[in-house]
Amino acid sequence: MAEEIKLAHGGGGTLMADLIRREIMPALGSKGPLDFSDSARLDIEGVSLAFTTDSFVVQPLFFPGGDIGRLAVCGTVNDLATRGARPLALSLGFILEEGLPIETLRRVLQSISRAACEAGVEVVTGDTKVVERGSASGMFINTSGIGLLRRDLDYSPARIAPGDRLIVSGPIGDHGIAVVSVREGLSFVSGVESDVAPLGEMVRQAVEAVGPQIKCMKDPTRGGVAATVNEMAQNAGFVLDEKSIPVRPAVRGACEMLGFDPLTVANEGKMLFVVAAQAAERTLEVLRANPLGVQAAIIGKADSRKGLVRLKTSIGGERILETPYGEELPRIC
Amino acid sequence: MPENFSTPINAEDLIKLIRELAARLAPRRLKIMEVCGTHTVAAQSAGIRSVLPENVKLISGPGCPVCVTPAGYIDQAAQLAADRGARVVTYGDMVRVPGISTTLEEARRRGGDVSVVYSVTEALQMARREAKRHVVFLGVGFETTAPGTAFAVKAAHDEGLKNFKVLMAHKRIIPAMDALLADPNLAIDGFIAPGHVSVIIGYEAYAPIVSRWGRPCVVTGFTGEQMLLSIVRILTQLVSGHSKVESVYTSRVLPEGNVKAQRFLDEVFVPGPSNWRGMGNIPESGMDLREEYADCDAKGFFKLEEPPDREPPGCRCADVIRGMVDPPECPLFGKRCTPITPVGACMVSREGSCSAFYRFRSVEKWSG
Amino acid sequence: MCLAVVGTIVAKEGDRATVDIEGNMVEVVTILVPEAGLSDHVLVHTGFAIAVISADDYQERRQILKEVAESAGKLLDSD
Repeated sequence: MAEEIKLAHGGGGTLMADLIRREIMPALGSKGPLDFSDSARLDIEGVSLAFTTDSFVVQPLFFPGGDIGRLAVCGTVNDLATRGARPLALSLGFILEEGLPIETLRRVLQSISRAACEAGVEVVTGDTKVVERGSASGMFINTSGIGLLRRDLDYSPARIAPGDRLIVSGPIGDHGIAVVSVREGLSFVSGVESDVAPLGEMVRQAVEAVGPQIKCMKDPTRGGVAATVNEMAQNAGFVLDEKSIPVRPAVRGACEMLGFDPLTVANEGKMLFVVAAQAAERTLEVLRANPLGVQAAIIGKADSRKGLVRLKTSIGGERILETPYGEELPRIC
Repeated sequence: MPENFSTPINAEDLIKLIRELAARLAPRRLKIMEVCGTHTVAAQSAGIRSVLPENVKLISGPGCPVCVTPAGYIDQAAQLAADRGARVVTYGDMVRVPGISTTLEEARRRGGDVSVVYSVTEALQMARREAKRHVVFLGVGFETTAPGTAFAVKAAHDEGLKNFKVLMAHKRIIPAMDALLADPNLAIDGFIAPGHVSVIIGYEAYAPIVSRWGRPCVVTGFTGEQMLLSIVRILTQLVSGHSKVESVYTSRVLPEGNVKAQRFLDEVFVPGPSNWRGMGNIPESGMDLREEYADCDAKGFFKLEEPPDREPPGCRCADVIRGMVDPPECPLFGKRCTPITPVGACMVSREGSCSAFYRFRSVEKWSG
Repeated sequence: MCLAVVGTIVAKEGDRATVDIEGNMVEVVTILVPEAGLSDHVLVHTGFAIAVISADDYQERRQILKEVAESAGKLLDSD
């Protein structure tokens, strides 16, 4: 184990999982194995709540298709959505860097306000701190969210069984590529926009249509689809079909240029669903009827090789789809 | 411009042909080697090994330019950044490569200026913007990448840009292929030749070693289908008892290659001896700056020695690079040596064999 | 390091060009392919165009696929 924190510890990959498992969980006295849920479930006096938190350190603050503010709302709202929760409220914590133009803060706030409206959620509490020049790359944001859970529905990797289908709500890799394209040192103007969007409504529609036949939902953020499917591969394994995975040509082109695998690139407006085989077509129908899910596709299947995620390649070969190490694109969200 | 497309003849058909041709050659066991890092990754990513018949083995050769560079080169670059105030500029995957006792990443942590760029032209821009700082570009790569460096050196020279330097480590692939063919322990039956190196040098460049050693050599591109195509061609040649150089990568690769690029290389560089990890010194396999451009040479300017090499104990990078063993045969692979805790360059470089084998592991090798 | 991608030249000035790679605009040096012009397809590696791709590249690839398969097939049949 490394003696100091590396950038890669924040990558959403194996290094980060290691850090959580070895340092963070034991210190907090967390019970039971890490189940990698995006949000926690609290059952209190007859009410079930989902509770989640997320911090945003994306660089640069503004990128094609979005900004840190929109990301901060959608990221947390989507974490609640993965549990099927109705978002009730968000908290908003700012760490602002001395010297940040007020105009920039205004733009971010406007974006937060718009995103919250879209997501049907209110920011009810917050905090603002300022640190010295050089300490915060403009600004960092933390949002925490509370949502209301239906007691009868539970989504977790433990419910996945062989034969279940894996569905993605749309083309992958948009967000990571959009952010990287405006980083310094990369002389290209991308044809790609971040997909950052609140998915609560789309998820609610899917839940209403097929309810308990959805076994698990996760949004493939850092580490991309590769990391997220590996998180879900606890009680079952997965085989993904490379040819079925939707990727925009511009994302594919950018990935080829930069040497990235789209399966490891972050998304901020996509959801992965694992559903019972008989519910797959209906789920697709419902997703495709929503503007955020028009390119939804079945991309794989669960099987009994627990913990093993494979990719059936376009030539009919097979290889393992690993959780990425986690350093490909730092400061992506 | 689709790179992948569907046709009446598909991957399944090619795989079937490979099996039938291999059956014709059985019980002979065949070794086909690719010598391009991008081919290493492409083959693993497409799962090529999982569809090959039992008597056809695809081995990975010294195709990763970072991996074949002596480890001491990294230490030299790190020192220039951390201790000698230079702006060290490099392509993406050099930053975490282990040197003998440090990495560029560590040099950065110690306050050294290390920048990653997509193109050498950005390094030139940096040199133009800050005349007071020395910009040292790490010239690593084969013939695909070297013309870019040559262009930059020429531009810096013509503009009188005194602060632009290159720490040269460019290599030429054919002398290495020659050395590999000369190794009786390797017994290579055919080569898959690098697609984009061949765009520059042309496919006729391989003719001398093909006629000297009598082994088929097929230039191909980087999709799974392209690699399958090249294997069909190599096996077809072997069955019919021929050996010649061919290209299945269309007119992107001309017999004579890119003459303009070769002229650039010739004007700025001259072939010289070079050390390859695992293979020792190979004559004419490196590129040195010509006398007229010596003022761009970082090695001369900063008075650096020839970089030493060192194998970490237990590390079999040298054997992996030569194609003697597959990455999983190294005792450290997947145990002490992983992308998280790399011991050798092969596991860190995005084009290294060990990294490719680890990231895209074949299903049978998964130990669960 | 062979990573190279295909794009189309959408603007050209001297030995610099803007290449459209599936919707991504990249600034490229064209000094290695001086004959490349507007609308030509080029192969781009680390900011340099290294080859012009024929307009018939797609057809060529299909043709090669066919020839390789046929040649192998003939060889296997002739026994």
